[in-house]
This record gives sequence, C-alpha cells and structure tokens, in this order.
Amino acid sequence: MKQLSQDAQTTLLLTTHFGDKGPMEHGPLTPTEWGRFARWLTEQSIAPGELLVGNRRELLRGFQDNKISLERMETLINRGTTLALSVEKWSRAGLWIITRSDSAYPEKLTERLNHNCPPVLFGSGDNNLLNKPAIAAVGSRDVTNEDLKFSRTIGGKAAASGFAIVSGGARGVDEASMLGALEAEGTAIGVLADSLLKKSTSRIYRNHIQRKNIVLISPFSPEAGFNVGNAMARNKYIYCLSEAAVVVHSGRTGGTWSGATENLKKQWVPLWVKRTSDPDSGNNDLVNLGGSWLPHNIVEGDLNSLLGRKSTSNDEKDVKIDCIADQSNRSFYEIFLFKLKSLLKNDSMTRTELQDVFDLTPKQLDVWLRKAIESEQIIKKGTPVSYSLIQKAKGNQLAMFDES
Amino acid sequence: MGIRVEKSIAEDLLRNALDDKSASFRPNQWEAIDAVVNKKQKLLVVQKTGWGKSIVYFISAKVFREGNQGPTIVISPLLALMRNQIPAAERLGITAVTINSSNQEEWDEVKERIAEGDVDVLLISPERLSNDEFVRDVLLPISDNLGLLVVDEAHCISDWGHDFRPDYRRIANVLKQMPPNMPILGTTATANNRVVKDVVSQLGDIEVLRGPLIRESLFLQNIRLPDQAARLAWLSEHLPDIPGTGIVYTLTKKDAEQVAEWLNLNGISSAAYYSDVTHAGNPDSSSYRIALESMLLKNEIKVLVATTALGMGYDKPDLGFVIHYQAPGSVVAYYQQVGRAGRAIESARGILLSGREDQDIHEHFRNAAFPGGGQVNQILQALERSDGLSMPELQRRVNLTKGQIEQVLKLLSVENPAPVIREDRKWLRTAVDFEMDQERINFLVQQKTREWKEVQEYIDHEDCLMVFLSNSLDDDADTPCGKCSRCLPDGRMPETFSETLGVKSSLFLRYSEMLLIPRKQVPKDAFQKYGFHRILNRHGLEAETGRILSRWGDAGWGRVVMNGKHANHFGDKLVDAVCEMFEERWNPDPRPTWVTFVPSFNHPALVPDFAKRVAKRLGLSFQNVVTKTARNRPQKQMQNSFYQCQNLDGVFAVDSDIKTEPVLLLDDMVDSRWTLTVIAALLRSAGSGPVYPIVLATTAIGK
Repeated sequence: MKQLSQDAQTTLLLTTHFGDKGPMEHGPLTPTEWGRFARWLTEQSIAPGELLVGNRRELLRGFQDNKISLERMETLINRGTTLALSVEKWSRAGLWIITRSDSAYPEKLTERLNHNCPPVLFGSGDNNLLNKPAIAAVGSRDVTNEDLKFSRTIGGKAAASGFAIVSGGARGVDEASMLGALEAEGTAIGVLADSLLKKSTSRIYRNHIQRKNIVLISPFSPEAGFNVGNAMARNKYIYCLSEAAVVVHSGRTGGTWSGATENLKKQWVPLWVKRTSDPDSGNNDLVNLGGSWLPHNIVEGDLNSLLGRKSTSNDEKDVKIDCIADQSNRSFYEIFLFKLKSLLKNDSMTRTELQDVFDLTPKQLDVWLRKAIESEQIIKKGTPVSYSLIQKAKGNQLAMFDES
Repeated sequence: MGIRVEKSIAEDLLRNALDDKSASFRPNQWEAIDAVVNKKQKLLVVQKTGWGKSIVYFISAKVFREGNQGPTIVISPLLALMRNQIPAAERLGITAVTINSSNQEEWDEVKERIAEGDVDVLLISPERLSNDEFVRDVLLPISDNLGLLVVDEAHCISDWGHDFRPDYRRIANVLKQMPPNMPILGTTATANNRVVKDVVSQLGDIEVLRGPLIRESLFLQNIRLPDQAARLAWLSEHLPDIPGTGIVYTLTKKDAEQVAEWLNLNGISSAAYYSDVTHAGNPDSSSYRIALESMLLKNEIKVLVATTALGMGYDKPDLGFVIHYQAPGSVVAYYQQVGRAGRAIESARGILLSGREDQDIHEHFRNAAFPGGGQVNQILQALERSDGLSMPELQRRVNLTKGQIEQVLKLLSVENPAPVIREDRKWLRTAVDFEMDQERINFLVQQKTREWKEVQEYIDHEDCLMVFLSNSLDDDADTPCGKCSRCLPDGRMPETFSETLGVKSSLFLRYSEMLLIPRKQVPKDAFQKYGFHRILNRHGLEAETGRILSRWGDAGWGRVVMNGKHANHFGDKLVDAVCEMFEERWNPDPRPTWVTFVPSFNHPALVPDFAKRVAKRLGLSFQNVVTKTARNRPQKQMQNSFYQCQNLDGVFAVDSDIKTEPVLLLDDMVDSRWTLTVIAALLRSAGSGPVYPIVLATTAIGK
C-alpha cells in the first residue's frame, strides 16, 4: 500500500470530512479557505507537511485569518488516527487519493477553477483518463426512455469521436451516457457527489474500472452519503473536466439547472442543449441564457464540432482575462501565456492561426512565442511551423498558484 | 500541541498513583514515556512480561489527558489482558474501559463516556480494529484527538513472528498511514532480531527499546511420554507435589476438557478454558472465562487446563507452574507461555510433556491455516457476479464451510489493496485485481514447519534449556541457568508414575465417549424432495441425543476403530465397548427395543454386520429398514450445511411398516451429523419411536 506523503496528510487533515460525524465545532477548511491558507504557506515557503513535524506555533506565526483560527487548525491536525483508519480503508478498497500538488491532479481543474478547485480528489480507476478530452453529459435522474436512449447514443458518439464522457455518475442520463461510451469501447469519467467506495464495487462499473476504461472521482469522502449541497458543488467539476457540455434534459430548478447556469455564467465550456417537447423542461430557458441548441444531426456528425463554436456571449474573452488579471497582478505576457496554453491544450496551432486569434503585432507575437519556448512552456515543430504544449508533469505545491 | 512532561513530574504521577513516595521508574520506562509523549515518536518496546509496559502507557495516557487530549487506545489480542488491566489502571487513578465483542450492550454508554471526556484508556481487540462496521460506528466517532495508540504483541505484525494473526496485517497498514504527529507504542515480550527488523522495515521511522527477556526463576524440564494415558497418569501423580497453582496447556479444546475431567476425578481441582467454553451456571462464554481466570488468580483451583486462548496478557505474578500436555508449535510461543510462570516468585516449574499425537495435530493446524486457491476463486467468482453478498447468501453459492468462507474473507480482507471489503453486512468485490500471494503462503507454511522442527530440537536439547530459549529470542544471555533439568539433574521432577495410575488413566480414556447432539434445524430449501420443515423438533422429527464412542485414530478406542475400518471389520472388542457404554454409562430412557443402521454402497456389510452383533448382545431385535436409493457424492466433500443437506436429499428411504418403539441407529463415523439427522427424521416420519444414534468415531478434529 502506498503511504501518503506528509504534504498530502496535512491537506487531508485540514480539508476532509472523515466518517459521518455531523456538525463539528471546528469543521474542515472549504476549498476556498484551503486555497487561502495554501497560498500563505507558499508565500512563506512552508511545505504543508512541515506542520506535522515542526513546531506549529512557530511556523504559523503571522498567519491571520478570520475564518481559520489556530485552534481550528490544531483540532483538525490532531485527527491523525481518524486519518489513518480512513485512508487505510479507502486504499484497501482500491481507491486512490490525489491532492492539488500531485502531478496526477487534472490540470483542467486548476486552470479553470484556480484556488477554488478541490484540495483533494478521491478516485477509483485510471487517473490518466482525467486529462482526456471529454464531453460532459448532464441531465436529470428521471427522464424519458427517449432521453435515456439519446444519452446512450451520445456516449457512443463521444467514444467514436475520441472523447471521454464525463458525467455525475448518478442514475438516468449520467449512467446511460457513461454506459453508452463504455459499450462503444470508449472511456468515461464519473464525478460523484457520494458513495464513491460503494459505486466502485458495483457490478456495472467494477470490470470497467479494472480494464481502465472508467475513472470515478469525488471531491468528497468516499463514504459520504447523498447530500444536496455536495451534489450541487460537484457540478462545476463535471463542466471543468470537459471540453463541451450536452444538456439532455434540465428542469427549471435542481441540480442540472444550477450546474448548467453556473457554467453559462463562468463560461467554462460551450453548452449545448438538446431540443425537447417537454413543456416543463428548462432546456429552452438555458438557450435563452446563452446555451446553444444541439444540432439535430449531431448523431451523424462529429462531436469535435461542439468544441469550436463558442456560445453567444461576445465578452467571454474579456471576462476571462479580467478574472485572471483580477486574481493576481499578472503581466501581459502571463495573460498571453495563459491564453496560449488553453488554446494549445487540445491541438497544435500554426503561427498564422495564432496571429488571427491574438491580434498582436507580428513582432510582439514572435517575442512572446520565443519567450514561451525558452521557458519550456511550448515547443515549435514541423513545416509548416506549428506550436504545441509541452506535456510535462506538474511540479510541487507551488505550481498550482503559478500558471505561467 | 506542545504537550510535554518532565521526568520529575511523570515520576510524581507514578508516586501518587502507587501511593509510594519512593517509587521510581524501572529501567527504560521513562525513556519510553519521553519518546512517545515528548518526542511524539513511534516506538517498539521489546521487554519481558512483567517489565511494566502498562505503567508506560498509563502514565503517558494521563499526561495526554491532562494536556486536554483524548484517550489512549490499547489494541491487545486477549480479553484476559483487558480484564486485568482495568482494575490495574484504577489503582493508578486512570479510567480504563474496554469495548469488545463480549460487552456489546455497554458500547453506547462507553462511547458516551468517551465523548464526555471521561475515559483515559480504551482497550480493544485486533479483531475489532479490523471490523469495518465497528471502526465506523464506534471508533471513528471518537478517534479525533487521540493521545496515543498502543499495539500490544507487536511481533504479530511480522510474518517472521511465531504467531500468525491476519488482523495484525490490517493494524500494520493503519499504522503506516499514521501521520508523524501521532505517537505509537508497540510492545512485545517475544521478538527476536529478525522480527524486530521486519517490524521496523514495515512501519518505517520507528525506534526500538530493548531489554533482557529471560526469566531467572524458571526451572525448565522436558519429558517425552508418547501415550496420552501416560501423560494423564504423570499429571495426576506429580501435580500435587508442585507448589502453587498453574496452567496446563493443551492443543485442542477436547483435550482441555478431557485433562480437566481426569484431574478432577483424581482430586486435583481444575477447569477447562478455551475460546468458547461454556458452563451451565454462566450466561455466556465470556463471563464464564472471566470467572475461570479469577478462580486461578485467587488460587481457588489448582490448575486451569487451557488452550492458547489463555495466554498473552494473563497476568498472575505468582503462577507456580506452566505444564504443556502437548508440545506447542514453536519455541518462541513456548517461551511466551512458560514465561507466564514465576514472575514475582522465587521459583516456578516449566515442564514440557510431549506426545505421539502432537505431530498430527500441528500438521492439521498447518494445513488448515491457509485456504487453497480453489476456495479463494470460488468465493471471488461468486462475489464478482453480485453487488455484494451476505454470509448466508455466500454459503448457498459456494460449497465451503462457514469457517472456510470466513477464513478466506479474513485473509483477503486484510490485504491492502484488498479484493473484498465489508460494507453494511455484505461482502463486496472491490475493483482491485487480485492474485493469491502463493509465495507468501508457502513461506508461512514452511515457517511453521521450521518452527515445529525447532521445538523437537528443544525437547531433545542436551545442554542448558534456558540458553536454548534465550538464543531463539536473540537475547544475550549465554551462561547456563544452573537450574533446568540439564544443568541440575537432581532438581528434576521424576519422569515415572505408578502402574495403578497408568491402568486407571487408560480405562478413563476408553470410557471417554462423547455426546452426539443431533441437528434440529435444516437450512432453507435444502430438502426439496423430503420437504422437511425447517425446525425438525417442532414436528417430532428430531433424533435424541446419542453417543460417540471415540475420536478417530485417537488413544482410547479411536485407533481400534480406525484399524477396523481399514480391515473392513469391527471386532468384538468394539461390540463390547459399545454395549458396556450403553448399559453402564448411558441407559437411555425409554429404552430402545430394536436396532437399525445407516446403509452404505461402498461398505455394504461393515456396519450392518456390526449392528447385528450389537443387537444380539443387547438382546434387541435387528431390523434392516433403511435403504439407500440413490448414489450421491461422498458427504465429506460437502463443505457446508446447505450442500451437505442437499447431497442427502432423496438419497435414503425407510420401509413403511416399521416398529413403533424406540430404536438405536448405528453408524461407524460421524462428522457433520446430517446423515444421522436425516435418517432419524425419516424413521420418525415412518412412525418409529425416539431414535438414539450411536457412532464409533468422530472425524471432526479437536471439537
């Protein structure tokens, strides 16, 4: 059995709900709180694991946060036996644990969510699948047979187009789309809000996990039971792990609705909505809010076409850049690099294509491209010259705050 | 954070607790406390029993509690230890409680007390720690903020240890995940260098504190007496001469019962002690065991005749002797058992008697210790086809005994990652690829064979016995002890016994028939053809309590039965034995008037021929009324009740016109008791009177 690193142990101690304990006086840090604290640690050049061996009072001198008292941290950090009992069990069940600082942590999440991404991911199956291009399939648990059949078709279609299906792993649309992909010898990612341990042992997924066709992940304890808050909170991870999302059926409230509108607001990925005759559905409203109707002929076409077309909003670019600029005082080059990397994520691009996108003077573009090559962010190759990302493992804890 | 204790303060705690102003720590005790409390270290302490490990964790627990931390958890394999420790803790002003399988009704109260901060030390067994439901429901709610985790008998973590306990594999895996701010204390009195090295390499980053292990008050002696009768005679002749009270260890429960009965017959007060021993006056086994332990503690009986269920952790400072009726499986295990004697007295006897049957029993233990690959695959395949199965569901899907299924699941479920996991009373197949670690199993079996060879060397060792034990523990002592039977032949106990006693003990063994308790409930759906109601006795279909003359191949009649079976003829001596037992020691009422038997295709004449002679001798009529109508698979291949019953369904028929009086039902061998139960039910259905089964031998080992 793999032993957790001390950094990972600290992260789990401070952020994970172990077991079913009900409300705690000093509850685990939320992803945002952990993000704040981790950033402070980085600034002080303190590795999280040091908190377990060093003199904590000394190390934490100067840390001030209204929400995160030293007492709270002390209580959380003293849960060592709870951690050991829980981690032993989860690892016994074949589950793995990765934290933001691990190289296996999906880059899409850190890039899109920055310090709001989950500090810890629990999972079962091949974690390499998390970095595969994926189509999100979302929809209600209780849908018509036609919608179920359509979900299965979309799953198969995704497989044929080289995409994984990412879904919430619940009954209904989620399960049907994942099984559709698996039956077509494709792959699937299930982002669960509860019961990861149990689901990983279920007959429908167990074999696929062993054959590395599916990965189930959850930002919540593998034994957590169903909880509406968690189910809502995990929606964003489904979108952020995808390249484009297909809404099969949404209500006007509830999980699918809130996830889809959140995605429209945050502009993570293009949102495609299936046409429906159900007058009670929220599908139409989603299109009014900025989603696009899924083309009728999509089942004959290639799902790659879902990636290109951006949704209607014109100021998407600005929103995104504003958001980056807002978060940390980035230089223009950093913003350029951020944008460049997200463009090159799936495919290489030629200089001309880049020129079109960036609308910079050719000289400026050259200077920045060269800088990016020298800092080993991208490589240049072939004729005609094209640029692509260097696929490298992420480094240490520091990397997550430093997208450049 | 920052809990610290100075030596002087810790010593004050000790003095206050013992109410002795001059008390001080024994060598290494303070060092151990300093390591776990001040340095938050992970520490393995190798010290002989009686060194005072409990002082270390009690004082440490106290310090942690005063620093506002939660209780200290002590994991120990034996209930006996826990029972002794609670009052011991009380004397030190420490509140210790235990949660174990025998006090389930107190769990809620104990949990509440822990939540209220009322508890300093919580004692649990390793089996509890590897029960996922227990961990979830009891341990996790209280495991935040624990002071210290203590693992007793830590040598069990190593495969090189003499004591293979799968639950310790789980414990080791939990310890590996323990973050560095959580101190751990492992303790053992029986770890040689190889074991210590292995534990250290498994847990990493753990310190070792080691002291001398050898006890100086022990007089060791070995005596080979192949016959059980000889050993019984020796015990009854010489036990009264050994001062004080003590323990006689046997290898099986049956032997414990038999030896205790023999000693009592000879005026030596004794009682049998084993894992599920029961007694009419006590509600359950656990309360009876407590009573037995306390009787020995208070010297109310001379001897407790026990299996290894009484062992590690039984704390009686003035134990006068430890005698082995049969040789133990390893020298280190022997040392551990014999080392219970003479802790706080000047001299004590450690005598190892060894017999002819020891070899076979250990071979049986070795073979039964690990499941075969076929058993493992059957279970995994059944689970793979499901979303989880309960124990009864599994029993219907695999042809294995409940014990075998439990053993396989235990062995698989302590691995990490493991192919199976238990959730909500069901066993689930995890998404973990699994292949049996046959190499490890071979290693463990060979290990046991090597250990058994070493025991033989110890028994026949011609130089100092204590030096031999000491070397096997890698203790430094190599000066002859000067008091064992090799160093000081004049100090030996005689190896002989009187002829009269020898004859008496042989007769005792020949008269040691057992009760045959028939089955009363049949598994659901197992008898589709016969259509028996599940509760046989509700419909008057059950057999009466019968008799089993002997244990297959054993002293007494067991060997005679075995030879008879091989020669396809049971001699008149066995007819005499059965009739004598029937007339003189049984005398069932109402008395049977006729005799019938269990038919067999393979040996059609063996049992009826014997039954005919028994009927003639008892003056009863012999009736051939049971026929076997279908060939079935050998019953011994059927491993659990469901399969055993199914294999018998529709196989026998009983004549319609039979005598309505009570009947004796004879067979040669019994194991699961189902054949007798089924035929009795058929006889009763056909209108017979009460059915009394008699069999010549049981093949069930050790029960």
